[in-house]
Parts: sequence; C-alpha cells; structure tokens
Amino acid sequence: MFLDVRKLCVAYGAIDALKSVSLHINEGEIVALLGANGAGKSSVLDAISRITTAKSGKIIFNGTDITNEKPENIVRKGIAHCPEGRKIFFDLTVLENLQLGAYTINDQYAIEANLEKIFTYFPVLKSRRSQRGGTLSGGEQQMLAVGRALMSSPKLLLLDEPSLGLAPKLIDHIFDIIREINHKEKVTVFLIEQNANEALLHADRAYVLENGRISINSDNAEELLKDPHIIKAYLGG
Amino acid sequence: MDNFLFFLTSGLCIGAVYALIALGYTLVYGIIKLINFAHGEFYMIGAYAGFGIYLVLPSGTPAILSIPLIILSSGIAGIIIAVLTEQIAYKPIRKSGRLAALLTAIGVSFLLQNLASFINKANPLQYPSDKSGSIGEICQRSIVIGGGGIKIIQFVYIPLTIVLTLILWHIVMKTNFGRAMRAVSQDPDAAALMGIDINSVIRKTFLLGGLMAGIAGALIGFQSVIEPMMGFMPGLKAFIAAVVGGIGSIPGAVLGGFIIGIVENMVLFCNIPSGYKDVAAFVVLILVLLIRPQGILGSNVREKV
Repeated sequence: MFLDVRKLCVAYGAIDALKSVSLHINEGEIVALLGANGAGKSSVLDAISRITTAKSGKIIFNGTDITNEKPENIVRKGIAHCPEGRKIFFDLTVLENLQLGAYTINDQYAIEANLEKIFTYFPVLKSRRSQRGGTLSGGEQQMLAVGRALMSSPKLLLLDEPSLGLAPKLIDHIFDIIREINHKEKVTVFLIEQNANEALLHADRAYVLENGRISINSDNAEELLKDPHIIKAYLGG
Repeated sequence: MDNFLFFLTSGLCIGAVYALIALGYTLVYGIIKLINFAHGEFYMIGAYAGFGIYLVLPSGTPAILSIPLIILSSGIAGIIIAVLTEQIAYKPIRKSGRLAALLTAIGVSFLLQNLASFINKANPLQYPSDKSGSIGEICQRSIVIGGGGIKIIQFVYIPLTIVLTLILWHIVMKTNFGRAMRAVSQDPDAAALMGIDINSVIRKTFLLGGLMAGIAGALIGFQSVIEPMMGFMPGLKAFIAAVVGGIGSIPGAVLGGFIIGIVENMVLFCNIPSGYKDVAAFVVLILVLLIRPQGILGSNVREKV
C-alpha cells in the first residue's frame, strides 16, 4: 500500500473532526474523498501533510510511519499538498510561488525542468510569471496552486477542492490536467471534492466521509454515480 | 542658516544608525508580527562586546585594524544575543498570542539592561582618548562642517548602512532563503507545506536583525559612552523609524531612520532647547499615524478572505 491511514482521529479542542478514519491509496491511483461541508475532509489531508496533528491513529506512507513527522519533511518524502483555499503567496510573483514549490529541490536543472513542464500544462502561468500571485483570477490561482504543488516532483498529490469557485469549463480543464499528471507523470492523486459528479467521473476509487467517519468505501468510483444514496446526498438527484 | 549643513550631516549620520536598528525591528515584525522591545538591548550588548574586544586586543593594534575587528565582534555578539533570546524567550510562547510575546519582549529588555548593570556595576565605559593614535582619540577627531564639528568616525555610518541594507535587500529579494522569509511572513502554514522549516527561518531572521543592531552598537560606542541603558532611547526611536517608514518594509525602515535622525537635528537647528530633541521623533510618529497609519512605504493590511 502506498498510503495507509489507520484509525485516524483528529480533534480541535473538544470537537472531534475525525473519528477513526481508515483508508488506503495504491500507487498510481486517483482516489476521491467525498463529503458534505464540515464532514472533516480537509482534516484528513491536513493530518497527512501534518498541518494538523493526529490525536490517535497512524499514517504510513511508502512503508514509513509519518504520523509524527515534522511538516517540512513531508514534502521531502514525496507528498505535496495543495491546500484548502489555495494559500498562494499573494505578494510574491507567480514565478516566486512556483520556485517556493521546489524549495526542497537543490538541483537547479531539475527545478528548471519542472518549471518548463508546469508552463506547458498551464501556459497562462508562463505569461503571468512576473505578476504578483494576488492579481491572478480565481482559476489562475488554482492553476498556480496545483503547479506549485507539482514543482516538488511529488509522488503523491493531495488536492483540496480543486474545482472550488471555478467556472464549469475550467473545472473540466483542471480535471483533464489532473488525469494527465496522474497518467504521464505517474503521480498518485488523492483529492477532496464537493463536486461529487466531476470527482467520480475521473477517480478510480472513492470514499465518502460523513460526520468524521468513512460511510462508503467504493472500489469503483463510477458505480457510485448510480448509488441512490450518493445521488440523493451529493448529486442533487 | 549657516548651521544648517552641520545639523543635516549630523542628522544623516545618526539617522544611519537608527536605520540599522530599525531594520531589525522591521524584519522580526515582518516574520512573526512581534515588536521586539529587547532589540535596543541587542544594540547595547553589541557596544559592550566591541569594548570587550578592544580591551583584549594588544595595545599597539593600529586603529585601521581594530575598528573593523570591534565592529565585527559587536555584530557577532548581536547575533548571539538575538538568537539566544529568540530560542529561550520567544520560541516557547510563539503560539500563546501576540500580547504574551510583547510582554515577554519587554521583560527580556529589562532583564538584559539589569544584567548589564549587574556585570558592569553601571559604570559608563568609553574608549580612552588620552593617547594619540588610540581608537578613542581617533574617534573623537572631528572636522568642521557648517560651523560645527562632525566626528570623523560618523562618516563611516552612512556607507556602512547603505552597504548592509543592499546586502539585506539582496538576501530578502533574490535568494532562496529570502523567498522563504517572505513566504513565512505571509502564510506560515502554506510555507510549511512548501517544506520550509519555519523555526529555522525565524532563527535566521533574528540573526540578521541582531547582526545589524550589534554593529550599530559598535558605531555609537566609538563616539559616546557605553552604559546599560544606552539601548533604550535609540531602540525606541528606531522602532518609531520602522513604524514611520512602514513596519515590515526594508526601504521603509531605512527611510524612517534617516527621517527621525534629520528631524531631531532640525529641532536643534531651529534653536528649540535640546531637551525637546527626543520629543521630535514622537511628534513625527503621531503625525504619520494620523495621516498615513500604515507608514510612508507601508502597504495596506489586506484582510484575509
């Protein structure tokens, strides 16, 4: 197993956000984590990238226990997290944002190569590279956030709501690129979505999180699209 | 009117020292939003350390060698005390809120002042100027500009400040570490996601601030007395300089330093009793806060969406 989350519990003060969540991701997969607002989806990703500390449980990545790893070392292990709200650096230029994504890489040639690759995926970033991050539109900021995460040459990419606030056309575009990255760069993808329809179309497998627990674990994401419970709860059927 | 040039030169020279100290305030504030009230004490300790090295140096050391050595060791002392203060006093309470950090900074300031008086029995020190060619004598030499004597050593202040500011600017704007600094300053969580070790960035920021405060201490030590309270007023004025220029902004800190230095000398130029000199900085502060609260070169604080 590539990523193995075992009985993960996360609490914010007295509030339990995650109550014993177990899930796994195999190498090369695209796995979606669905759930309503406040179900605890972001807490799962935050615990993996160690922005949040797990109360109990274990997170194993590539055979090593990373549950109590320092946050800055998670990237070095090959996990890039594109966080909730994008969190791009507004006052830094697009180029500087991307360079920070490659902060853990020392090889200047590798950084240049990654930069070129990201500019081919997102040509708009190339034309805006000297602009401050804060001046980008929402869609461009999302591309920058994904591009920045890819700059670290990750093996596992964590995406928190890549479609949030984007026009339908852009959502398709972002998901096409996610699939391409997964396919061509062999990057495993674990993504959170509220847009269940789009996520299930592109994911190999899916989990559904309800009130801090995994309620559905499906080996076939597309089948979930026909699940009456899913249709009722997340697809507006 | 004939004194104008004297007071202007004098103001520029002292302004350069305020600028050096203000840079430390602005760097630290930029990164952890802490007004480091102990910063003036880093400057005081730098001055003492420089004097300590002077005592250790063989008496025949030429000034051309000993002056740079003193400046260097003051800078190193500034680094050590700044990094120690951060590690021992600020790091443990970093998550306890800004008020706790501010009170701790004031506490550290008192502690260092009293520690210095305890060790030195509050005797003011001065580089002895009895022998011709000694540091003390060289530093007291002056040339007449606009009807007043400016000490030669003061002409070192401005170029030194400019060079250090340019180096700092290069570090912050052009290097990987500088990018990391700016990232931490904007969003520490996102910076950690990039693999940036936030603690290390904060430590190095204190290092840079301490270095410049220590050097400023050496400079003032050359021309004035060294005593435990010497960091208080310059520290306060440099803080005002940082706020006037726009706290968090490097060019702002330098501009603010020169403004405060010039304004307080203009008070003397206008024949206002010198007792009011220290008031000038506060008047400038109040005016700037009324007209442009973010400081002259400061950017508007953006609300997080």
